[in-house]
Amino acid sequence: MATVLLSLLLGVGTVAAGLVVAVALAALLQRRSVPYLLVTLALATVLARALVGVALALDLFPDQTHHTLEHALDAVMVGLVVAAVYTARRGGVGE
Amino acid sequence: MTSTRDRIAARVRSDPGIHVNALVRDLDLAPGQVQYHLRRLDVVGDEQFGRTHYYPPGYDPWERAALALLRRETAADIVAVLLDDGPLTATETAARVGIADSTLSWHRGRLAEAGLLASEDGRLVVPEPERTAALLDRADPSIPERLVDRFTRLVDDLLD
Repeated sequence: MATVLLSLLLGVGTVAAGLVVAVALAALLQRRSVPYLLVTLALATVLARALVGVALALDLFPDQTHHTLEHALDAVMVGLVVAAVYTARRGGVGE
Repeated sequence: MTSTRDRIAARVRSDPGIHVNALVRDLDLAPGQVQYHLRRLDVVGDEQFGRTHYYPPGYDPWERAALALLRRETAADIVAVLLDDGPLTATETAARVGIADSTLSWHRGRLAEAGLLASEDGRLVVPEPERTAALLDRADPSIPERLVDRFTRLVDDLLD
């Protein structure tokens, strides 16, 4: 039962994250700005997190690696969001 | 029975400025199939902002460029507000539409280039209100176009 629920959550999470990244990429293509690049990359880390979960479920690497990767991706995501906010402010002043 | 070609023609008529991807998705056809029929149909393909939009015959180049832009929800909102309440300053326009200044500024350049928006004494106006209003009625953004537009509104709002 737990495995069925986990597979379902992984599936829904991966597809939803994929859609969000697709929308972000389309927006990035329009705007071609650094803040949009950073926001897209931050959202891509959510997709990467979901894919790491799928890889673990498929036994592609041990649980410890999965754990480290998930938290490394959290750190990357926070860094990207902070950078996006910072560059947006600088861009706004220049305009 | 309606042929595939008739279905494509009907879709282009009902949704002038439609993009190939939308035809493929909405009519559940292969991209190659859509391209093949489009080449043989009496429709006008026009490259606007890096994408080919398809129109029924009878729209002049100004109208085609305008329709491609008015299919964007935010651009259409800006033009609609200015048609109703213009002339307005840029700040007033952004506030009425409910968008960040950076969102307005991005759309403003493209709308001005297409002749849908002009600046008079520091206020924004729609230079050709009748023609523009008629086209605004015909433009209907697809769901992915709406999603991307709302995403940029959200991000601009958050980052502004």
